[in-house]
Amino acid sequence: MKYRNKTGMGKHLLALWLTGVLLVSLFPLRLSAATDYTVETIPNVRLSDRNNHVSNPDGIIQPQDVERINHLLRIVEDSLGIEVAVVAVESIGDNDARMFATDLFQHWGLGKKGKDNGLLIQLVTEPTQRSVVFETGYGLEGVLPDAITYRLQQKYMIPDLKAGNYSTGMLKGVAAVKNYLMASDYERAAMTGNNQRQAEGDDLFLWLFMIMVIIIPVGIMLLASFLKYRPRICPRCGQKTLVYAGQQVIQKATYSSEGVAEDVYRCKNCGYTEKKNHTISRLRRSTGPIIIGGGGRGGGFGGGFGGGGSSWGGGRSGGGGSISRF
Amino acid sequence: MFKNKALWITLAVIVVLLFAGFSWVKGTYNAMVTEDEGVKTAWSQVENQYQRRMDLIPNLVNTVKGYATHEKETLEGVVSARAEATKTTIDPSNLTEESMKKFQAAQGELSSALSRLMVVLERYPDLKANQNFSELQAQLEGIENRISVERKRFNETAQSYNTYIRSFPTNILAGMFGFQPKAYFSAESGAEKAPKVEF
Repeated sequence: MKYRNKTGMGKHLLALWLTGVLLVSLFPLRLSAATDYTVETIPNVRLSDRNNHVSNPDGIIQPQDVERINHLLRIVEDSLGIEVAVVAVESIGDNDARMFATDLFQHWGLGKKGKDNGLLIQLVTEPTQRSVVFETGYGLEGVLPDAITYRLQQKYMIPDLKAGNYSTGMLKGVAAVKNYLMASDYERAAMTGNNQRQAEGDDLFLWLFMIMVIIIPVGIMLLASFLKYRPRICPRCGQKTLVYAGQQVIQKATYSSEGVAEDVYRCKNCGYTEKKNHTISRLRRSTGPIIIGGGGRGGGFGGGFGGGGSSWGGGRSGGGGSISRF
Repeated sequence: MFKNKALWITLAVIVVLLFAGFSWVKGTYNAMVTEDEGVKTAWSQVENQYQRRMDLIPNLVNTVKGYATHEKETLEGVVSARAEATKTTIDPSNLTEESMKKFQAAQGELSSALSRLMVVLERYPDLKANQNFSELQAQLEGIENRISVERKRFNETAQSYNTYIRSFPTNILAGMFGFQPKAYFSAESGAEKAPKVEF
């Protein structure tokens, strides 16, 4: 009784403690989320819908402009494979805007893995940090050199951003980027091919797998037959001459029941025989080969290669791009 | 007969031990090689970015020359620092404290020469209005940013390598096969020093 009481109390306490922890852990998060974003707290909108390119937690960009930006960036992704993300927040705390963009790019993994064709457009509106940053993936540095990103920012974005029309400025900037990329010589051909190495690796893996599949059962069979056929000591004459002489089926196995067979061991020296019964397993109707691990590797394809568990392609950047403060 | 059995068991144990030892050495050695290659790759990225900066300088100097006629000295400082930095390279298999220090000193010299130039150029409004120049400036900024990113990544990779080869029992094999710890980029070098603005 006492014991039960104790556990009841314990449960209560535990629940209380849990709520406490939850509250404590939620509050700072909520408070900080309202003001300073970190790389982890900026919502990755792509997780819910692949067509979302705009992370706009503070509502800086107007809903209809978000729509238009998404539309433009979908065209870019569909035709060139380039993954562009737009982020607009009020504050990122004391972080350096440039470094923040690099870290966020890496955290999300913009661009296809191996091609690194991602682009991050980041707007911070807090007075001390007011800036727009383009962070280009390694694979886009050629088509979008820093000078070009800077020119696009200066020409299409800064006038509006300076006037406080953040939404318009971002839309114009994205439109300019889209037009530039679509007119550029970013090869569409580069998107196909380039899978050679991956395929080779798969082949090798497949071979190893096949070898293992063959070697292991063969080894087991060899071991079993060795155990069965090796000569043993005859209990009557003491010589190592007792060998397997064959088996005799006593009761045939059927589809519904197991059968019984008799293993006969005979001593070559003195003719002593020993009999052992063993069961024959039930007959099975399916006689086709059993496919092992048929669905094993299927999941790896199509689903992307998962850079950091996000829905972007897992591309990388190395601090390319430019920043325009205004 | 029993003697024979004991022999077999001993042999089997030896074979198993040998195999275990072999697979441990193999796994560790290959992991060290992988880490080592990772550091080399990270290093080549760092070097690429420094090289990129050096490639940009002639262009920058040529653009500036026409405008900032009174800054010959500062420009020459940049050119000579670049020449010095071009000479100082590191073989990625020899990333020791010493060679790293030399490399950093040379590049740091160039960094401060460049930032001195940039500060001086603030005085030339014509130049600042030049689109070519402002784009070169953006490019230089981008390169500096890339340098700091790649340096950070290099340090992370080198740290992971160093931690690996220096922890037990990997350190035994690292010593046997001659895997040396790699030097880091240190932050407090000339490269990070903010230029002094004098009026």
